[in-house]
This record gives sequence, C-alpha cells and structure tokens, in this order.
Amino acid sequence: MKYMMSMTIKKVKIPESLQLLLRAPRFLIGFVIILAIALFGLIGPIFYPKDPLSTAGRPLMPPSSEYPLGTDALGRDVLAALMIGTRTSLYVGFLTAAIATLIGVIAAALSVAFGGIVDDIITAIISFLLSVPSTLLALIIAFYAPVKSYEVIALVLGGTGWAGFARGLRARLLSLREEDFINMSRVAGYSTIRIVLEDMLPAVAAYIVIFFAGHIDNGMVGEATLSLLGLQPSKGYSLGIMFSQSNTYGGIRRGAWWWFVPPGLIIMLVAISMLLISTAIDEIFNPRLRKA
Amino acid sequence: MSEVLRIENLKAYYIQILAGKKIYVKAVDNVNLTVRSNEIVGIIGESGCGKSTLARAILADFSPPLQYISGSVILRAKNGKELELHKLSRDMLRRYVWGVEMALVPQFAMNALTPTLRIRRIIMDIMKSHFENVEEEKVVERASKIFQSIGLPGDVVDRYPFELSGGMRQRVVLGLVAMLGPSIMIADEPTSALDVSTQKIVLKTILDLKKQGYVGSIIFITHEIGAARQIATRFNVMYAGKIVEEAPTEEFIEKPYHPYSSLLIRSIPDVAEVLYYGGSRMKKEFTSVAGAPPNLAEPPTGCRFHPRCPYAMNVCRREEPPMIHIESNRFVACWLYVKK
Amino acid sequence: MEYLTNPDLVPKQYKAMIEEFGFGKPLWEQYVDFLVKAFRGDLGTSIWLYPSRVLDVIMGSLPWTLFLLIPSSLIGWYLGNLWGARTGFKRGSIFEKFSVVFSSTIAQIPSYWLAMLLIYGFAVYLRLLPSGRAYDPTVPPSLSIDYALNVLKHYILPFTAITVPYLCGQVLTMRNLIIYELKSDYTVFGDYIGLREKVVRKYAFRNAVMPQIVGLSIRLGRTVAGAALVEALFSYPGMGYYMAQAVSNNDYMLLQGIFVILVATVYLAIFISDLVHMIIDPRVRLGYVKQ
Repeated sequence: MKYMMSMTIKKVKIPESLQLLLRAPRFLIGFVIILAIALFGLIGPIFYPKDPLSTAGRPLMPPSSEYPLGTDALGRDVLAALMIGTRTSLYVGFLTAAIATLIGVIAAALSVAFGGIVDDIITAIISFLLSVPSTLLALIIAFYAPVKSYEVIALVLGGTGWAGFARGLRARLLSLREEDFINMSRVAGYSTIRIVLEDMLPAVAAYIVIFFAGHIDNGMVGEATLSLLGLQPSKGYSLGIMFSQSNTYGGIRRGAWWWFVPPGLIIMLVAISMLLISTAIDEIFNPRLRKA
Repeated sequence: MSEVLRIENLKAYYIQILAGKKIYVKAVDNVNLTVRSNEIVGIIGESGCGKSTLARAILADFSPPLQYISGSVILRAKNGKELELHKLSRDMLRRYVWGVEMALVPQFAMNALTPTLRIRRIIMDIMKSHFENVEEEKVVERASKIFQSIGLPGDVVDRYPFELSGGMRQRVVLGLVAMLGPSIMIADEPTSALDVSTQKIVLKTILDLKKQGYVGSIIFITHEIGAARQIATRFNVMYAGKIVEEAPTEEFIEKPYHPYSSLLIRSIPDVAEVLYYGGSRMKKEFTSVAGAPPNLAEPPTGCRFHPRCPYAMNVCRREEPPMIHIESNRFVACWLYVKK
Repeated sequence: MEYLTNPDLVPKQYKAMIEEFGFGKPLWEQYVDFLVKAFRGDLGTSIWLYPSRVLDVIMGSLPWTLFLLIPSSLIGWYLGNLWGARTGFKRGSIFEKFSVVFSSTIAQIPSYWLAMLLIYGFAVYLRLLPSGRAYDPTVPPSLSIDYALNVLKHYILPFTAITVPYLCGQVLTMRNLIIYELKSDYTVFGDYIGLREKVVRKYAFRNAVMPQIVGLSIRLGRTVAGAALVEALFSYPGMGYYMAQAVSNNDYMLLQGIFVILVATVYLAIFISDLVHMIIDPRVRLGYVKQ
C-alpha cells in the first residue's frame, strides 16, 4: 500500500514547491515579522534619530510622548537603545547561525565524503560537543577568551552549537548515499566533492535552511545569556546588555518594565517568526508531513 | 457451503490534497467478492494494483486518507447475524469484529509485535481486550499448545519479539490470530519478505491452522502465484483496482481467460516444472509482463488493461468490460468473451 | 593580577597573596597544580570571597541549586509528558491545536526573561512574592515551619521560571514521539487484532517515553548551567548565582572550581542515563541487533 501510494503521489519538484512556500500563510507571516524586526533595527534610527547611549532625560521615566519607551536607569532613551540593541543582536544571531551552519555542513560533508578516520574523528568531536551543555562550554570559552567582541561571541556560540545539526545532516547524507541517483553520478565519474555538492546538498537544502533559521534565535539568546552573566564585549550595545543592565541597575526591582520587556519581546518574535518559517518549509519539502 | 463474506460494488479511494487540488486514487474500484465458509480465496495482482487497500477495505478500515465511497461489505458473524461492516464505527469494529470475527495478518507481521513486551504479555493483553475472566495460566497453556503445533519452540511465550527471527515472528502472529478463532483470516503478502524455505513453512502453518479448525476461511493476498497456488482453492485476479477474473485454482492455471492473467502466469517460472521438463520449457514460456501498472489517480479509459493488452480492440479503449459468467464457476471481465 | 588585589595593601601582604595563590608561577604550572589539587578534593581558595575555600562555597550553594533543579526537572518532565501524550493521542482536536500553539510559544520564552517578567509581575507590581534570595535574612535557617514557608515563598518564582518553558518543551517532544509511535506497525496491528484503544495507547506511551527518560537524565546534568541566569536574577544563592558573581568579580579560582563540578555533573548524568536506558529497554539489555 505504501509503495503504491508513493508511485501515484507526484514528486514535487523544487521550483513548484518554492511557489507553494511563498504562498503558504505561515511562511509569509514569519517572513514579515522578521523583516519588520530587521528593518526596525537597521532603518529605525533614521526615523528616530535619538542617541541611545547618551543621557537624554531623567532616569527611569515610564513611556511618554517624548520618550515612547521611557528611559533607563542612566536616563537614556529606551526606544533608541532598543533599535541599536536589535541591530546588534540580530547581527550576532545571524553570524552565529552562519558559522554554525557552515561548520556543520563542512563537517558532515567531509565525514560522508571521506569516511574512515576522518569520519571517526568528526563523529568523536560531535559526540563530545553534544555531551557537554553548549551553554557551559560557550561560557567557559568566552570567559577565557582574550578578546571580547561580538564577532568573538558569535564565533564561540557558533562554534559550540553545530554538533547536533552536523550529526543529523551526516545521517541524512549517509542515507542519501545509497540512493540511485548518487550511484549514477559515481558511475559517470564525478569526483566525491562534486557529488556531495551537486547531488546531495539540494536534497538536504530544506534541512539546512531550517537549522539556520532556528539557530538565529539560539545565537541571540546565547548572546543575551553571556551578557547577563557579565561576559559581554567591552564596547557595543545589544539586547543582552539591556537585560543585564536592567538587572544590575535595579531596573526590574523598580518596575521599569519598559526597559526589559521590549527586548524580550523582540527575541521572542524572532523565535516565533523562525518557527513559523521552519514549519512552513518543513511541511512543503518533507512529503511525509503533508496532510491527506 | 454458505457465504461468510459478501462484498458488493465496493469503492474506496485515497484522497490526497496536493497544491490545493483533490486527487482521488482509485485503489478499490467497484470490487465484488464472495467468500464461503472453509474456502481459501486467493487475490492475485502486481504491486500497486490495490490489493493491500482491498485488505483494509474488507476490514472496513476506512481512516484518512482512505475513504469509503460506496458499496457494501457484509460479514456473517459467528453468531449468525449479518453485519454491514461499512456502516459500523471504528470503535464497534475494534470491539466486535477485528480479531475475533475477521483478522488480518498484515504484510508487516514481522514488526507487528510490540518490541518491548514479552509475548505472553501481548497475548494476555489481546485476550483481555476481547474476553472476560481471562486466566493467565490457561491462556499461556493454550497459546503454547498452538505455537508448538505450528512448529515454534515451547518457550516462545516468554521471549521478547526481537529475540525471534522474522519467520518465527510471522508464525507467532499467525498463532495469535488462531487463538482468537476468527471465521475469516486475511493474509496480506505473508510470504513476500521471506526466503523460500521460510515461505514453505509459513504456508504450511496457514494450512495447518485451517485444518485444525482455528480459522474458518482464508483470504490470501499476494503477487506470488506460485505460493497462492499451493493453498488457494479459488483465484481472484486484481488489476488497477478491479477484479478482472475469478476461477477455481487449477482451472485458472490450466487455462486463464483474461489476457492479464495469462501474462501473469507465464511470467513466473515454476521451479518444479523447470526441473521436470528442463530448461527448454522455461525459454519457451517465460515472458515478462510488459509495461507498468497504471496510475490509479488517472486510470486508463475503458478497460484499464488495454494499454498493455496484446489483444486490445477499439471497444476496449472506450468502454469498461462487464464481469460475465463463463462456464459453471468462472468469471471474466474482458471484451474478448462478450458475445455480440 | 594587580587590579584584583587592593593596591593599597602593603606590598608584603600583596606578595604573600601572590605566593598563596601561586600566581607567580608560569601558567601551565598553575594549571597542573590545580588539576592535582582538584583530584585530591582541594579546589583552592576563592579570591572574591577570600578566605573561604572554593569547595566550601560550592558545597554551600550546590544544595540550593539542586533543590531548585531536581523538583523542577521532575515535575516539568512528568507533567509535560502527560500533557504531550494526551495531545498526541487527541490529534486533530481543538485541545491539540491549542496545546501546540500554547506550548510552542511558551517554550520559546527564555527562562531569564520569564524570570524578569515574574519578578516584575508578582514581586514589584503585585507585591505578592519576594523578588530575591532564598529566604528572608531576618528568618534564620532552622527546622521550623516558619522557615520552611519562607523558603517556599522565595522558591515559587524561580521554580516557575525554570519549569514552565521546560514543561512546554516536553509537551512538544512527547507529542511528536507519540505521533511517531502511533504510526508504527505494532500500533496498526494492535488496532487490527482488536486491542482496546487504551492498551494500544499504553504501548505507544511506553515506547515514546523511553527516549524521554534518557532525556531527563541528561537534562538533570545540564541545567545547572542553564539555571545560572535565573539564580543570578533572583540572587538565589545557588551555584549559578555564584558562577555569575565569580565572572563579574574575576574570581578565577571559584569559577574554575565551579566549572569542574559542572562538567563532572554532566558526565555523571550521562553515565546514569546510559544506565537507566539499559535498565528500561530490554533490547539494550539482551543485545538487540536490528535485522
């Protein structure tokens, strides 16, 4: 019965599914959200040209018409701060996701392409990374790192978070390896790297994209975690620093919700938008999930 | 001989929604089938012809994406009452029909046993679901007796399913069905995933169970004519969701009427014949069935076999042939035999 | 190291401290010293909380952390799995849709943000619950009901902040596991052989819960680090709190000691989870080889 069904269900080709994706409501909503947030961070300051890092008004003022999001404990404009913070955090998030995805893809590809000792070593590294909680590892490395900048943070977070993805990717690539169209390429004499890049990657593209999307949020949360624990970079301003300062300067205890609620909302919205996009992609590209 | 199961004009399609459009996969399209008590009815066809769907349809297991369209499935229960299975709710079917009146030995019988429970526990759970006052001692004793009579070792009851081989697990499932004593046992591809020697054992087990009275009639669904021939008394040939021929086994093998049937028979080298007559017979008669089974979402017009039929006529392309009665107990759906 | 110690200290004391901490020796020697001492159970002396020994600090804070984490993990796991299983069984119902949406959203909330919201909501705005510490400094630790109630009052918010996102995460994973099990051959066959629905569900649950049990052991090992933030926010005197403080006070010794304990806990948790897996899954016990 399953065999018969797979024969009669048409294999959805990539351009066709891309069209489906772009029309899927979940994808659109998620995309709009993340776009809005990104624009908020990048272009916002143009419409709201207030300097977030200098004292502007009295400290800890609730939202008003002059200061739409009030001021923080140092008298700075929270809305302006939020924009800058969003920009930095998104930057860290994307960078982290990019690094993790890149490392993961390379690791899995090398592992599958060359097998043998290379595979063993990479699998061992993956197992190690998976056994230690990534937060802890990132913390330790970040603490001992000589230079503290956002790029370094992204590097640390990305460098510790790729293990699970790499393992899943490796498993999928391995099962793909047995498929016929791979064998055809091999018979045609394609080199291993070419097979991996041309034949295998498109098939797992959806999985890679989903991981990337999901990891952006991890990056932002990771950055916030490190900042909250005091491991923030020496200069720069991010959502994590907003959290950290609202804690150390007693913003929470003094009820300045306008200071710490918006950054959290931004992170949550990013997470939700990524979730929507991921599930939309998953539903379309993974035929097993299609509803009957 | 009385009728135990009567299926009339049964239609059951798979509904799939792709890119907003509804697609009907006509897996069971106007099927008529009768099973009498103590019969072994074989349903033969290639993969993808709808056989396994028919098995589900016989059980009236219409759960999405399979939908009941029309027709009837009427079962005569052990207490004599006639049950219209297609009208019963799933809950009613589970409680009163499935297992006790009609049992399916599925294609995946090897994986049908919960891997992490001992077999005696599975048996107890099954018994308790159907009967009251189940005593473990008696149940296990009866089970062991049945298992031993079909050639399984005595301690199988205490094992975990994963400790047994595929063939053994299949026989355990057969034994479980035997314990419930249904009037009809549906065996869906019981021999497919097995090697030839295990196949023989399983076939023998099925026959034994019937001979010893644990099951009444058997519906044997397979694509392997050789296996079916060994135990079925009647053959039903299925193609693209429809039954195209029905005949007693030996008459069918000797002289198949439908073009598809003859292609099926000739495509299977009979090992015994080859050994007896030597290789020359094989060379003469072996032809494979050309082409591929049709797309059940968009079947061919008229007679569904016409694209692959060497005898296709114009009428075959236009109209579906009716099922007509040829000789005393043979039926065929082919324009070749319709007298003008 | 100058900025660590008070520059007003008499140079002699300064030298004595350097001696004691061994900062004068080359870096690798310090590390070896540390490892050797760690094996002997001596994790050094804290810099920030001098003269307390690192081990004492850790031993003092660990119980608080465990008190927070273990009930949180157990309850979150148990309730989350039950809810998740229910959701999986009732696929397609309004209950399921609601549960999925609700859990997906809540599971995304970072613990620390939830903590901030809770502090603001309950402690500042409603003034119902205290905003920090494990117990009121005015009520001394004792075996009295007073003290117990006081501790509980301080316990609710941090407990909620950690448990709720975890619980929702469990709901989602369990739901997926159940859906997967409901599609397997043995469930379908269970239906066909007329097994009562309750029994089929029990089978599915049994098989779905196994990876969850392994997950629980791992969770217990890993959350010590994750709870750090919540503890820091609540000034809750657990290991996470001290870890955060050690970072901001540059107390290398304390931090190293905490790291060692944390990593050890993680590996212990993995070991225990392997053991548990072996006990509950007969396939592992009897040397299952997939055919």
